[in-house]
Amino acid sequence: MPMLRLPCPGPVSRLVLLVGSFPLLYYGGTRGVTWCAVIGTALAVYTAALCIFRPGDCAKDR
Amino acid sequence: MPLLVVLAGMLSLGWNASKAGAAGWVTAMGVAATAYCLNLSNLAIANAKGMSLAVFIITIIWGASLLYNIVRGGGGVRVISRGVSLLGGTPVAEALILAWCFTGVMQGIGGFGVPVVVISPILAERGFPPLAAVTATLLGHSWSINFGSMATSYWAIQLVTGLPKTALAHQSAVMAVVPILLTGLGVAYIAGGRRGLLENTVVVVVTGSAMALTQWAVVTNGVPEGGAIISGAVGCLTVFLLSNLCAPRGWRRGAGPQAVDGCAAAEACALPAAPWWVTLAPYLAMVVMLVMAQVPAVKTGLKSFGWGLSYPGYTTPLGLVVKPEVRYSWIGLVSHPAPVLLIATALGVAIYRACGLMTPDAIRQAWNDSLRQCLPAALSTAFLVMMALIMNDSGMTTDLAVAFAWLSGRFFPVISPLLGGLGSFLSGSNASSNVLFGKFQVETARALGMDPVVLAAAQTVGGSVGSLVAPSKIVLGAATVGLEGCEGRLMRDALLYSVPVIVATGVLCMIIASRTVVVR
Repeated sequence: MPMLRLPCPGPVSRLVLLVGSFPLLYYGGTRGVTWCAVIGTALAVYTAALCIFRPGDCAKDR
Repeated sequence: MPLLVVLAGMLSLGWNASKAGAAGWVTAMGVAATAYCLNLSNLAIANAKGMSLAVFIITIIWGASLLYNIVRGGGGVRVISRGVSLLGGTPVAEALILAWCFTGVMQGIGGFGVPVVVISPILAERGFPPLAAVTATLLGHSWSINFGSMATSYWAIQLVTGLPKTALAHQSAVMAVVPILLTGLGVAYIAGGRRGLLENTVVVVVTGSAMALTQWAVVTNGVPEGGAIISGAVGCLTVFLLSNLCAPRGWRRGAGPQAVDGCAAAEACALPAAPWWVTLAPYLAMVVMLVMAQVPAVKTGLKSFGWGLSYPGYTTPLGLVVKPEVRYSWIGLVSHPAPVLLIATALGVAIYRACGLMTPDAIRQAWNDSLRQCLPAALSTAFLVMMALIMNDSGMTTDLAVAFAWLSGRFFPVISPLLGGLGSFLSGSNASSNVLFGKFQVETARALGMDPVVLAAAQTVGGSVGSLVAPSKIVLGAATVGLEGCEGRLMRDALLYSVPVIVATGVLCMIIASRTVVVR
């Protein structure tokens, strides 16, 4: 999808992004801290977008 | 919708599991927020629960992959490969012993995908094409999941439904005859094509009957935990004896399938200069630890050591009650395979270093190989599990089940195993599927005037077979033989074999249900 100019982090960075959203989702959901839930969800959605629009090995993409 | 996106992405568009999982998860979020009115807090809890469950699964993938790569580096896989070549008689018999019977033993002890990550690469090493190796292992071990992992799935449905233990064990064992036989025939076909199937039909039927009878005898005598282990072991022995009696004339024992030992260079084929038990020490340690973990004193003593998060319950705007979870997806020191796998790996590294079987470079290589194999699997597992949890906690899964029941009417028993399979597909676990749909199956059976034990058994047997196509397991299998990115093809192949097995189980369920009209 070249229309969307998303950066191209590798699988390690994608996993770090997704795992990073975990504590935010947990605290946001279980303690009712909305901003935590919003940032956590946004981070996870962003990682999903990276996987959908820039799949595969980024080194090969370049 | 989310399921269709994942299936269409993987099966029609050829997407890898990460991409399909991410698309399915985004779709699930959208549907849950709009059609099911879940608020941000509910969504965050569902996603966090998904991540908890993903950590539970990913640590197994990582641990098993690291253990395998270390054993491989130390020459252990070559030893197993040679051992199987001397045991199996023919390539199809090797595949039957490893992928059909021995996986039952492994599933009984460890479960949680361990047979797939351990046996698939060994079959590939033996010279089977990687795709065939994973498909055979996925299919071959699926009969054993119900009574595998110390009968976790059986206990899950028994606890959820409250049905009599012996009656449920009896009915599950009777219904498992179909998957046992058909998965064996499937493995024979995958390993040897049409000829392999025809030549080994007798072996499979006799072995399958022995396994089914053993499983029935064990589980109905109050030892459901031994159902998969003992029947798997009986299967190994029976195939060994029969295949050696029925081996084609002129067959050279130990010749292996297409490529001998799966390696071309002479030095790569050489066996390590150490006794077999030293090279297999990590796997032996794993088996000893898994068995020790079942000792009641050990189990109780180490029960509180582990990690897991608790989640609050809530009621969705559409009225679905989501129960609170205490220590959700608990990663216990003895109840979860990952700690055992890691301890076995550490022991293996120490022994291999002490015996000079592995250099620091080889250990680093094993670590890097595991990372490379597991990273894409970790991403896709996380997305798929989060999607499944959103579907469960929003009520989408229940709606799907109700729609199934409404459409099928009195033919519900036919699709009852399919529902179990769908639950396993969504959650990646037979036990979770039973928790999800167990009560629903029983209530439907009562409403239709059928024996709830029969439908509960169909649920768990269908769930057992259905878990072989669970995306998380497909990703797991693909990662271990270097098929990352080919998950769509693997899922297509797995579906081709699993659907007929589930349909046949459904037909048997219909026959049994029509003969036993009892309202408990």
